[in-house]
Order: sequence, then C-alpha cells, then structure tokens
Amino acid sequence: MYNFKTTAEPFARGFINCDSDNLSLKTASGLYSAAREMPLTISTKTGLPMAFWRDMYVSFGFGSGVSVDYNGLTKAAEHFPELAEDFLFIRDTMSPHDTGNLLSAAFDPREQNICDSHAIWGGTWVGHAVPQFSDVAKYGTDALREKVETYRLSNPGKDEFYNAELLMLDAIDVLAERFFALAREILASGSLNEREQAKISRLAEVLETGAKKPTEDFFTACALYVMIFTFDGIDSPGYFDQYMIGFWRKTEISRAREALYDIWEFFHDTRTWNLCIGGSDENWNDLSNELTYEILTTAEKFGYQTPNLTMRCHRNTPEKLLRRAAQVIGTGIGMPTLYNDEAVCPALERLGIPPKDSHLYVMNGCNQIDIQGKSHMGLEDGEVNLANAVELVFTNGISSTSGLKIGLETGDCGDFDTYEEFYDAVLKQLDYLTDAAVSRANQSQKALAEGSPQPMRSLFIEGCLEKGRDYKNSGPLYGHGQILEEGISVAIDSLAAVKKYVFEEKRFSLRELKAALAADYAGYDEIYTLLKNSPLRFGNDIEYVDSIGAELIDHFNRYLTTKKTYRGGYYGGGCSPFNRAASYGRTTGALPNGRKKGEPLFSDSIGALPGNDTHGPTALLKSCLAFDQTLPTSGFILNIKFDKTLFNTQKGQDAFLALYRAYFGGKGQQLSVTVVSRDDLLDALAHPENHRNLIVRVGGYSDYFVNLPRELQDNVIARTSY
Amino acid sequence: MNGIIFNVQKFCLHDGDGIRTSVFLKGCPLRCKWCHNPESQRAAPELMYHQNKCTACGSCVGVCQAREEIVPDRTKCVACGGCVDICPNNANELCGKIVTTEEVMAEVRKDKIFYQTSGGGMTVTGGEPSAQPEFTLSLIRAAKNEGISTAIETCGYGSPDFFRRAAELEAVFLYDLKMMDSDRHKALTAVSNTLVLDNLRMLMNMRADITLRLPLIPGVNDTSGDLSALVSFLKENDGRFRHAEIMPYHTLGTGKAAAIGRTAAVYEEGEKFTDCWLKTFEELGYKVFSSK
Repeated sequence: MYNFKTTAEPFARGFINCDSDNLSLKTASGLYSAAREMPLTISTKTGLPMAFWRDMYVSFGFGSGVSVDYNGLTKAAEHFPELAEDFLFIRDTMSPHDTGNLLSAAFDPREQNICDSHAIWGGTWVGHAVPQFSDVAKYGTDALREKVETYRLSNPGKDEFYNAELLMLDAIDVLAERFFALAREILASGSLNEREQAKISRLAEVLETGAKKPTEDFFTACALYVMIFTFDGIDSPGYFDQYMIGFWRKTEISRAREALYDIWEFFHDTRTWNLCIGGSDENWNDLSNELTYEILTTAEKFGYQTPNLTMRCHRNTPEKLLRRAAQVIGTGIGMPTLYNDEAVCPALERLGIPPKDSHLYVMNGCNQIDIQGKSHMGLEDGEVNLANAVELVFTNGISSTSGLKIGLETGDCGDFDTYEEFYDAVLKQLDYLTDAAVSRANQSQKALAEGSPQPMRSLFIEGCLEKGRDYKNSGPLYGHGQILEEGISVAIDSLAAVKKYVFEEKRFSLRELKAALAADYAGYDEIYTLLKNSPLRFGNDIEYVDSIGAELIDHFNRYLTTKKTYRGGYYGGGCSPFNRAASYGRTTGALPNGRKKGEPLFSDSIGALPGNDTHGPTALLKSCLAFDQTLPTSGFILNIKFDKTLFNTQKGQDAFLALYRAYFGGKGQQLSVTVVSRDDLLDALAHPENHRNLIVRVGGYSDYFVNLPRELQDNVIARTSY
Repeated sequence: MNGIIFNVQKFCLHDGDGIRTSVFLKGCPLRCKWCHNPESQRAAPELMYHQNKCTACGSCVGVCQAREEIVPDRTKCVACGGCVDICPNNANELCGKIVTTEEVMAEVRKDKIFYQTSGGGMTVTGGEPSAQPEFTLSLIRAAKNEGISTAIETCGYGSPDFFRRAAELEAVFLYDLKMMDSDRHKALTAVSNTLVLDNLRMLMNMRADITLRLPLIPGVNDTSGDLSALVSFLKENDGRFRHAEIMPYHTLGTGKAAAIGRTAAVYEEGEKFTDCWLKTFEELGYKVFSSK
C-alpha cells in the first residue's frame, strides 16, 4: 500500500493500491475509487447526472482504456514539489498500463512501413460497443449482484474477475448516492431559477432510493443510463426505442416526453455516437413502436447533427414509418441514415451469428455494425486503401509517396502480357495489405486482451459473466472484427482504364503507363487527357466498369471472412471513411484513372468520386448494386444528395421512396441521404466539377444544377432557404 | 429500326408517373417561338458550339470547313464532328445521333427496378415522337414486351394512324394544347391546330390515358380570351382526360438556341404568374393544376 499525500488522481490511487496483481481487479479498484471521488456534474439544463472524466492525468474510457498524461504528471511534480513524489510515482507506475504504450510494444515493426505509408492502419482504435447499461434501471444493482454470484459458482477459480464485477456495481451505487447528495446540495444553494429547480428536484426525487432496485419510470431509466454512459466515456446508445419502450409505456406521457427531450439535449451536447431505431425480429416482424416515432419527432424538432440517428429497414417496415423518416430527412439534418436488415442480417449470419441475434444488430460509432449487448465487433479494427494495391503493381511494391517498400514484388508490370496477369498482381498486393492490417489488428487485440480489461463493460455484455472473461478478452458472445476498405471507386476506375485502354484498345502499353504514373503524368499529356476524360467511371451503371468493381470488392470482402480475429471471431469488410477520405489521397501516387499524385479525390463512401456520377441517382444505385452487399459486416456506406425543394414535394418524396425500395430490394446495405443546403449550391457554383450530379427543381421540372445558365442558378440559390 | 435522338435522360420525375427515362427524339414539324429545346426542332444532326466553354485556342479552325474564325458559319457546317474530337474543352458537341431500337432499350431497361417501385417507365419526347412514327412505335412495342410502360409527350401534329396505333399499345399521352384559336396557333407554331384537335378527339374516343399540357407564355397565349377558349374545351371534354396542367414558360432554352447558332425569342418568365393563372382558370369554371 502506497501512502499517497495527494487527493487527486483517484483512478490511479485505486489501481495502484489494489492488493492484487489481477488487472481486472486493479482496474475495477481504480474505477471504484474514481466513482467515489471524481468531481460530478448535474446539468441544470437537462437535470441529468453526468460523471465526466476530468481533472485527472490518469483516466479511463471505453475508447482509450487507461490513458496516462506523462508530460502532465511531470509538470505537476514541478509545480507541486510537496506532492512530486506522488505524481512521479503515479506516472511511472501507471505508464506501462497506458494503452498507447501497450500497443507500441505489441506492434510488429515489419508492418510499420505499411502503416507509415498509410496504405493500411490496424489496431489503433480500442473500439465501440453497445453495452446494455439499461439493465441497471431494469433490474437494479442488487439483482445484478445475484447474477454475478450465480455465474461465479459455475466458473470456479475466477474470483478476482467476479470481485471486479461486484466492485463495478458498488461504483454504480456510489455514483447514484453521490449524485443524490449533490442534487440536494445544489437545491439548497438557492442559486437556481424555477425551471432549473424543477429539473434538479426531479433528479433528487428518483435518486433518493439509489440504483439498487428496479424502476419503471422512464426518467429514472434515462438518468441512470446517462450516469453510467458518461462514466464509460460516451459511446453509442444503440436501439433506444427497443430497450426503453417498457419504461416509456409505464410513465405519464408528458413526463416521459420531457425526459426524452432532456436526454436528446444531453446526447447532442456530448456528441454521442449512434442511436438506432426500428428493425425486425428473426421472423421479419416489425419492431417499431410509439417511441420510434417520438424519437423521429424529437430529432426533427431539435435538428441536431448528433446523436447520429439511424433506422433499420426491412420488408415489413410500415409505409407510415418510411414516409415519416423521409420527412425528417427532408428537413436537411441528413438523418435518419437507413440500414437494410435484408442485407445486414445475412452478412452477420455468414459469420455464424444465429438469426435471433443477427436481428439484434445496431449501429455504433459512425456506422459500424454490432449486436446490442452481446458483442465486441462493431469497431474499426483496421482499414486498407484499395487504391494503393493498384499503385503497388506499378511500383513493384514501393510506396510512391514514402519511398518505402510496403508491398510485394509482383515484378516489372511492363512484362505483363494480359489483363489477367495485371489483375492477379493487384489481388496479390491487396491480399498482402489485408494480411498486414489483420495481423496488426490481432496484435492489438492480444495486447488489449492481456493488458487492458474493461470491467464495467464486462457487466453489460452477454458472455462475459457467463464465461468469467473480460470484455476485451473474448468475453462477449461475439468477437468478430471489421477491416474497412477505402478508395473503392478509384481502384475500380483504374482497373477499368487499364483493361480498356492498355489491353483492349492498345492505345499505349502498360510499360508506358507505368512511366507516366512514375512521372506523375508530366510529359505524358496525351495519355493524361485520355485517362482524365475517360467515361469509364464507376457510378454510372456501365456494366464494363461495374463488373470489374464487383469482382474486386467481393474478393476483398470474401477474403476477410477467412481471417480470424484474436477475440474469437472472423473479420468482415465495410466502408466507413469518417474523416479519412481526403487524407488517403495525399498518400497515394498517380493512378490510371487520370488522378495525379496527392490529389484528394477520394469518394467519401462506396459511391462514385465526386463529380464522376453524371447519370443521376438511379445509375449510381445500380452501380452499387453490382457489389454483393450481403458480404460486408460493417456499414457499407452510400451517400446520396438531393435538392431540398425537390425532395420535399410529394413527387420528390415518392421518388425517394421508390429509389429506396429498389435499392434495398436489391439488397443495398445502407443509404445516407443528405438534402442540400444553400451553401452546397454556392459551392456548386464555384466548383461545378464536384456537383455534376446535383439535381434541382426549376420551374416545373428538374435539371442538373451545373447545367443551368448562371441567372437561373442564382435564382435557384436565392430560392433555397436553409 | 433506326431513329435519330439527341439525349436519353434518367430519373425524370416530371414526364409522366413515377421515375422515368426520357428518350428525346430529334425533329419536330412545329416551330414554336417559345420552344425550350430548340436543338430538337431540326431532324438532322447539328453542331452545338458552347461559347462559355471555349478558350479560343483555335484547334477547331484547322479541321473545319465552316470555320475561318472560331464561331462557325452555319451555312457551311455539315455536322461532321471533327471539331468535337479535337476540342480540349468540350466546347463543341454534336447534337443528334442515329440509333437502333435495341440501343435505346439497352439504356432504358437499366432502370427497370426503379420503374417497378415507382410506377414509372419510359417517356418518348423530343422533338416530336409522331415525326418518327415507326421508330416510336417500335420503342413502345419493345418496352411493352419487357413490361415497361411508355408515356409520349406530343404536340399532336402527326398522322392519326400513329396515334391510334400508339393508343392500342397502351401508351400514355402527355398532350400539348397550345392555343385554341387556329390562326394564332399557326402564327406562333407554324402549323394550324386542326390536326392536333382531331387527333386529341380520336384519342379521347378511344379512352386513351391523356394528361393535357397547357404551355402558358406571358403576353402570348394567356389573354383572357385564350384562357376562356381553353376552359370551354376542357369543360366540354371533362372526364375524357386525367387533368390539365399548366406549364409556365421558362427561359432555359435561350442558351441552347445560341449554341445552335439561332437567336431565340425571349418572353417573360412564367413561374411568377402560376398562382394567378390557376386562380383565373378556377374563376372561369375549370380547375387545372401546375406541373409540380
């Protein structure tokens, strides 16, 4: 036991002074200590209790594990010499447990070059999940204690793990007690106005009895949820309409609605990730309920960009719900994003997940797919830049931006006689990069399994208590993984160009093209003009291009399902670029689609490059349907844009629903619909090449915005109000 | 079967029900002064020169018999397409291409899944479908064989035999009624409206699916006399067509007229009169709609 003088750093002190070597128990002790001592906040706006991690150099979160601010502690020792010994001791004892340090030690240097050249990344994100925190409101911590004890009996020799779990329940109880005391303190301070008074009183009232017993009240359920959710680090609420409906129905409607608005504000203020509604059960019965509609109305009312609202759709989604969702999308908030059970469930079942659980899928993070309360699989384990796989064939394995060897030596491509030889080399490079990403991801999973337990999450994800294993250590029922694919359309367009212009029309040789790319097209004007103006672009429903795309993408997605995760599952593909789409362009050399080195022309989803899809939304959707979308097990994002005025007419809404039915009917996986604002139109004026596909209402018809004469464009812009 | 078209456009929402692919035929017997597709009037391929894309590099002059300077002499242009290939800025475009029925269908059938979910299909427009009667009928027949419905946008100035056969193939008609007064119709469109009205009556007798389109050009055909005459006709034939839609004039065609070397007559933008027109029709005793 170390005798600390400082009263700061409760997590570190609890961790260090835990009288055991077991990491689960140490971490739980740290978390308990933090719950007992960390500063707490109650929002006077929403009346919700928030256990944010702040004012600590050593902290813990779902997405970072243990996080040690080495420099901060060093400086603190300098500023507070009387506490220096404590801070330095904390710094040196906790640093080995810092997730970043754990991972650096774990990664094999052989893959470092590939990561440094940005052809892949893997294992650097600790990851999202959707723990079933609402169990606390539903059962109460006493009942959960019994559950822990029941499983302890069937898993002898794992006492420390189960003791850690009991400590987590103690942490929840202590947080509830402390929030109750804090609420009383704030009320007594007399500093509140009437509205704030009411909000805080409401909280004090429900926390008086703590978290030990179950509740039926919707507000109480929201409060307890937020308390644990913030303590955990603010991840994704999952299918809120499903697990909260019981509470909703037992609560007086105006109280329930007020609570819903409050938690919505909370989700917005904390930039909460994905909240999902709707869906089907394994018999394709529709699961939407009155709360589904209330959430849509709430999202529409507030118009916030977060939480990211997603809706699951299937063959029996009520027409009324679809139309309501379309209306909300039409307000311009770009939500809900639509997911297709008909494509996602088969993809999950391919991994071995039975239908009763595949139909419990939710989205987390931006767009990853997870099984609510049962899995640790909805995170980006890694990513591969498909365009680099093409590039490496021309450079014989050398990155043209970093100069490092990052791929295979597939030989001097100038010697290839057929397209098949060339394509085969591309696949070899692609598989090699994929193997590297998988290897990296598995190294990370192993390091985190051994060194970074998360006892709080282990309580709320099925499989952990049952097996006596931590959430990061193959506890969850499902531990599949996701390796994402980027640069899809660039790769496809490049392959199509090589097949057509080199091997079929023989306009120039592969050797000449290789030289042109190495020179970044300097001095190769004729080749550059031809490739730049090529009409063979993905996204235009051109069978020649789309079939090349389907083969490439299906190969990647299928290859992944043969790769195992360290966590005890299999990998699957997906496309969810988040904010990386532009940066990948900077680290990719010149390519046969007429793209020069470094140009940030990367599609922000599975769709065409900006400006390349010039044949309208039907052609874009048809091209995307060429992929087998029952293969990717992570979100396979497609972004489409409509003009706001068109979208909000009866015709526009009908047309959108017809597009949706055709796309999802053809097993498209996902649709991210945005309705363009005035700013987009202004950008279309300045950069028409990026908005060639934007359709707007003009007079009594629709036309491409960028084709309109200037005066009319001004007119359309003036009309758009947003 | 061959025909000449100048565009195939997908995701059309205002050319019939649902999501449609519009096939634009080149050539029209009328010369409406307000036409917003002037490049569709002549049946032969013609050059479109887009001055706003031209950088005056002069590459076209070298290959072209109609150019001593950059702007082409239309009397000498034979639409050979040489300047199209050579222009680095895509400022030259050949408008009008000979295609077969199958080539058109290859594009049209691509969107079949969207026709099915939206109640849409193919629309034959232009130009004037009845000016290429056999080609249009072959398109309708080919579409029908594949379970795709066809709408025809027409001014009605064509052979009755064509309209009868199209109706027998269950084509849906989007039929223009530009002017009831025959002399003024001739002055403004170059032809009288007798044939137009005869064909319309025949189609109504056959119980064809007809939506009437009323293009309204401010100060040209929207006098109270014009509108009254229209209302009489509509009332007389109420129930024999779906409804009538007014189409307010817009100026989109003016840029294209310049591109084919013509000057378009310019009228006032019609959209702002929409509500007023709709009210007038209602006051005159017949409710019409605007094509939104």
